Amino acid sequence: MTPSVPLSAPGYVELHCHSAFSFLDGASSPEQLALAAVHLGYPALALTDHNGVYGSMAFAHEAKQLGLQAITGAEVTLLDGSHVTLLVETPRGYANLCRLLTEAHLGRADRRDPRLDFASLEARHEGLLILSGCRHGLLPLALARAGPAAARRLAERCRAVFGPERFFVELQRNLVRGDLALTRGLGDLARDARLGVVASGDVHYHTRSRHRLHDVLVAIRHRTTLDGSHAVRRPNSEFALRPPRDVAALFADCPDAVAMTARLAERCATFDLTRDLGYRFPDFRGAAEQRAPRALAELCGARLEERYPADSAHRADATQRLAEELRLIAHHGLCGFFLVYHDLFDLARAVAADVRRGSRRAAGGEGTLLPGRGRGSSVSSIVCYLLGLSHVDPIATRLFFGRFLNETLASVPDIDLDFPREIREELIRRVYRHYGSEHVGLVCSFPTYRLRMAVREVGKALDLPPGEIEQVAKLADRRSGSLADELEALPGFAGRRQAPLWKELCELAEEIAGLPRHLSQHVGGMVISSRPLVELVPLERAAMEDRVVCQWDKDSCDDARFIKIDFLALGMLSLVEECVELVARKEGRPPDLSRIDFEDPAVYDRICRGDTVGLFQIESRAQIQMLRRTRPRNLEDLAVEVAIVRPGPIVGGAVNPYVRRREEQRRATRAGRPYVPPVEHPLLADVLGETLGVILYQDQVLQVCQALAGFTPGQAEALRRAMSRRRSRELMASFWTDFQQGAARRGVPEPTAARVFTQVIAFSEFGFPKSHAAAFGLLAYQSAWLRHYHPAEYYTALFNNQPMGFYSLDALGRDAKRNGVGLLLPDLNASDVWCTVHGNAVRIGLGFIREWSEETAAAVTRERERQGAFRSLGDFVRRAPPTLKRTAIENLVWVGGADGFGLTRRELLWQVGLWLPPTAERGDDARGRRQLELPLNHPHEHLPFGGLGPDERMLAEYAVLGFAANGHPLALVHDALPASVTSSGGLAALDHGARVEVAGLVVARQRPETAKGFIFVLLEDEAGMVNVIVRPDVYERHRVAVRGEPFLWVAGTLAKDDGSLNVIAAEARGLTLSGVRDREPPEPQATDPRAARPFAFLKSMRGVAPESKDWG
Amino acid sequence: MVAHSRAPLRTDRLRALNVPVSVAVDLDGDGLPIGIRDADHGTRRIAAVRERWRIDDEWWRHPIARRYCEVVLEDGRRVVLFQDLTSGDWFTQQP
Repeated sequence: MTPSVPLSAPGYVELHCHSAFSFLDGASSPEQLALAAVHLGYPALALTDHNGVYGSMAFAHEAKQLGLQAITGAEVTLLDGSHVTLLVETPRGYANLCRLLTEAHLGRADRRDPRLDFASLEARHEGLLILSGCRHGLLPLALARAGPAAARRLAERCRAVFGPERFFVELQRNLVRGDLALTRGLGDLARDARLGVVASGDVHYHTRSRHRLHDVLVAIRHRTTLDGSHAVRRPNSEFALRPPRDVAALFADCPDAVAMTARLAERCATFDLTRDLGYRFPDFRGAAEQRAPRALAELCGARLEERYPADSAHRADATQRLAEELRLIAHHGLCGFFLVYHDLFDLARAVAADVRRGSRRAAGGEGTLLPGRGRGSSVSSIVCYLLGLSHVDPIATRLFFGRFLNETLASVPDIDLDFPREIREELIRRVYRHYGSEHVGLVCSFPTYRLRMAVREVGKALDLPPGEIEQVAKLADRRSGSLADELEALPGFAGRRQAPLWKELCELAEEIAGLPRHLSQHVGGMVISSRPLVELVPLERAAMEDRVVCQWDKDSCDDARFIKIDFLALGMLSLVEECVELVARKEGRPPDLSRIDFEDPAVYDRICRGDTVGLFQIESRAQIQMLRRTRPRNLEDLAVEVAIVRPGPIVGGAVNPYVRRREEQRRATRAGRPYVPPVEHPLLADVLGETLGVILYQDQVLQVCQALAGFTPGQAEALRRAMSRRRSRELMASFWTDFQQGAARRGVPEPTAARVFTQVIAFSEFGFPKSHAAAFGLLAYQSAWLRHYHPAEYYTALFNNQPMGFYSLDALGRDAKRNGVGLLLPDLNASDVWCTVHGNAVRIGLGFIREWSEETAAAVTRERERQGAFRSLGDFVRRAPPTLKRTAIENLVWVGGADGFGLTRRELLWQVGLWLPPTAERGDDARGRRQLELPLNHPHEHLPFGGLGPDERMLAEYAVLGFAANGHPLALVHDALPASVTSSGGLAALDHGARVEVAGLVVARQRPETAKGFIFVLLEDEAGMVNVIVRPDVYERHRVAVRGEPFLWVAGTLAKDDGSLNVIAAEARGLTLSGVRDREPPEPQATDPRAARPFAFLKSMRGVAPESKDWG
Repeated sequence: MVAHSRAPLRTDRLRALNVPVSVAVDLDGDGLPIGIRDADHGTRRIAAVRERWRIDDEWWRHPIARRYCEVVLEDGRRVVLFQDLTSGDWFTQQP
C-alpha cells in the first residue's frame, strides 16, 4: 500500500498554472489564483500561460501586494505540438523567454498557432528552468509516439544540452486514468537519464467548482456544445489549485518530486518582474546622453523667442516656466525622450506631406495645419508647446504642470497625440520603419466577457435554443445586478432562473464576466524602447496586417513604466482638414484656424442656443441641455463645457452648483458687482476659483489634495493613478487616512475634509485634465466657426468622415437642411466617389450607395473622365467596371442616380433587367456585358412605366443610402398620426406639466452609468428633436419598445426647465397609425407628398430605418 | 435472421452489458480500498491498487462524479471499483 505523507514533508509549490490569459483555457483571473494560493498557504506560485506572459505583470504586482512570490514563466508549444514549461530564474532568462515567445509567434504563418523550434530553445536557454511538460509534454508525447527507447534518447539529449541543473522531468497526477502508469514511466526515464523529477498540478482554475466554466471554455474554443466536446474536455475537476498537502499525498511514493518544487521556487526568487525588467527611456537616436539636455534647451530657447517675443506679456512667466521644466526633465533623464517625441512630429510632418501631396495643404506656410495635436496632461507643458506637440499656450491658459511631470515622477509622463485618420495609419507604419521592428510595438488590449457575449457563448455551449439566447442577449441590460434577476424581469422568461440549463447559464455568466477572451490591438498606444523591446515583452502579430503588438495591455505597460505614445485617430481632425481644403478650393486660400476670432458672438449665439449637432464634443443630448444653462462665451467657458458633462463632475455633484453660480456671476457682472465664488474652505479659493468653487478638472484633484491636505505632488499623483485603474480601487481607503490627517494638520474640520474627499473620489469616474478640455474646447470652437461660415463645406466634410460623433447620417442630413444646406442625391454624371460641394448643397458621392465600393466608384469616375459623360443607362452598363454587380446598378437607379437620362426609375430598372442576367448567374455578369458590344435592340426596351411615389423614393433612399436625402418619414404619414400627437415644434407653446404625446424616429438611446437607471431617448420628427426621459419603473414596463422600436410613440408630461424641454415618459409604445384609408397610388406627375399607403409605408420603414446610436 | 432496416427498434429487448454491481468497500486510513464485500463473493481482499482516477461529467444534466480504482485482488483478478461521490455508494464494474 502507498505510504502516508509524513507530517514534516517539505512544502509543495505550484509551478504549472494557467490563468484566463491562456485564452479560452484558463478559467480564473491571475488575481483569483493569487488569492487562492495565499489562502491555501502557498509561499509562491508560477504563472505559465500558453505561449505568452499576458497576465504576468498584473500577476506579479498582485502577488507582491499579497506577500506571495510570483514566478514568471510560460508553457510553450513546440513545432511538433508538444509542450514545455519554462520558468524564469534570472533577468537574462526573462529576456530569453521574451525572445523565444516572440519567435514562436512571429515565425509562423498562422498567427493563431504559435510554435517554437526546439533548436531555438537549445540555442537560447540561459537563465531559464525547463520542465518537460504536461501530458502533451515533450517526453510523454515521445513515449506515446516513439516508445521508451526514443524517449530516453530525447531525455539524454536534453540533459546534455540544458544540463541536469536546468532540465527536469515533470510529473502530473490529476486523477486522470493512466496518470500513475505515465508518471511511473517518466520516473524511470528520469532515473535512467539521471535527471531530476518535479511535481506539478497543471492548474487551470483556482477552485474546484470552476471546472464547469473550464468545460464551457473548451466547448467555446472548439465552437461546439458541451455534449459535442466530450473528447476534448478534461475528464474531471482535479485541475484546480489544490491544497499543498493533498498534492504531496498524491506523490507520496516520490517525495523528491515534491521537494524539488520548493528548490526550484527558491532559485526563481531572485527574479522579480516588478523590479528587474530593465526598461530604459528611449534615447535620442543613441546620441550621448549629455548632448540631449543641451539640444533640448537650444531647441526650446529658439522657439521661446518666436512664441513669446521680448514684448509679450507672458515672456517672464514663460522663461521661468521653461527653466523649471527643463530642470525637472533633466533631473529625470527625460531629455532624450522629449527629443524622440519631437522626432516623431517631424516624421508626422513628412507623412502629412506625402499623404496630402497634390493638395493645397501640402504647400505649407501660413495656415498650414500641423499634422497632429497633443491632448491630455502633456498639453500643460511649455516644452511640449514650444516643440509643437501641443497647440495650447499653457502660460496664457494657466495650465497646471504638476499633473504631467513633478519631482517624484510617480509614473512616466503620458503623451497623447491626435492625428487625422489617414495620417495616423501611415505614421504608425513609418515609426516601425524608422525605429526598427525590434524597438517598437503596439500596446494590446484584452476584450473581456460582457453580459451579451457571455450569454451568447455560454448559452451556445449549453445548447440552449438559439432564438431564446439571442432574445436574452439583446434585452438583458449590461449593468444589472445578475443575469438571474434580469431573466425574472424579461417577458416570457420569468421562472427560468431555476430551470435546468438556464440556472447554469446564470451562474456561469457571472463567473465568466470580466475574463479576457482574446488578444486585440489597443486603439493607438505604441511603446518605443532603446533596448530591443523583444527582450522586455514578447511581440506577436495583430489581426491587422503589418501590425505587431506586445503582449501587455495599457495597465501592464504602465506598471512596467514603459513610455507609451498614444497615436489616436480623431475623426474631427480629418473633418477639419478636409473642410479647410474645400474652402481653399472655393476661395483660393485656406482659412487660418489659429487666427480666427475666438470670441465671435455669432458663433457663440448658436452654441448657446444648443444648435450644435455635428460639432465636436458639444453635440450630444446632454451637452445641448447643458449649453443652454451654462451659455459659454469664450474658449475658457468651452473648456468647462467639454469637461463638465462627464461622470467625474456629475458624480461629484459639481454640475448644479456650477450652473447656479454661473448665473449668479452673470447677474453680478450685469450689476457691476464683483463675484466671489463660495468654496468649502479658504485654502481652496486659489485652486477652485476659476471653476466657481467646484472641481471640474482632473488636475484640480491634485491641486485640492495639495492645498487642503498637504499632499506632495507625488502622493497626489499616486492617488490619481489609483483612481484611474480598474484594479486599484481598494487603495483609496488608505488615501482617506492620509488626507484626513493632512487636512487636520491644516486646521480643516473633518466634515469639510470628508465632503471634499468625496468630491475628489468622484473623479475615479472619468474626468478630463484642464489641458485636455482646453485642447478639445479649441477644436470644438473651430468646428463651430467652420460650420457657421462655411456650412456647405462643413457638412460635406462631415458626411465624408463618418462614422463619428453622436448622430447618424440621417439626423445629420436633416440638420444640414435646417441650416440651409441641402442634400443632392448621387448622380452618375455629377457625383464623385465621396461627397462634394455643389453650390450650397452637398452632392452625395457614389461610394455611399450600397454595394458600391470605393474602388468601384473610383473606376466609374475615372471612366467618365476619360471617355466623357455617360449618355444612357445602356452606355453606362457597357462602360462600367465588371466588378459592379447588377444589384449595385439597380441601387444606383433606385436613388435617382440615373434620373438624368430622362426616364422614370422603373423604366430604368426595366432596362437593367433586360441587359443583365439575374444575380444568380453572377459569374456571367461580365460576359453578359461583353455581349452588349454587339448592336442589340431589344423589342421591349422602351416600355413605359410610372414614376415612384414619395414613399417608395424615401424607402429606397433608406434602403440604399441608409438615410433620407429630403424630408422625414413622419412627414409622409402626417395625416395618419394619432390626432393627440404634438409635433416637436409645438411643445414650446405648452405649459410645464402639460400632458403630451409625441412620436418620432429614435435617433439615440442613452443609459449613462451616472443616471441611476434612467434612459434618455432622442426622438426626431419632421420639425426637430424631442428629448424623452424614461424612468426605471416605466422602462421595466415598456422595455421592449424603448429598446427596440425604431419609431416610438410616447405619452407623458412636459418638463420645461432653464430653456430645455423634456418629455417625462409615462408610456411608450411602437408607433401605430390611426384609421386613415389607403388612397389610390398617385399618377407619376402627382405632387402629393404624402404616402398613398401609410400603414404599408410605416411597416416597410421599420425594416430600413437607420439604427439608433446607443450609448451605455 | 437479420431484421430488415425498417423493423421497429425493440428497446425493451435490449440488454445492458457490464451493469455496475453494488458492493461494500473497506478503506484504509488514507481512503484507499483494501477489501470488497458483496453477497455473491463474500469478502475479497485487495492486493494492490494499480490505478486511480476521477470523472466529473454531465454536470449540466445529471451530474456524474465518481472516483475509480483499478485493483488487483488476492487471486490475481482485476476489478474496477468506483464510488459515486454524490451518494457515497460503491460499485464494481468489469474493466
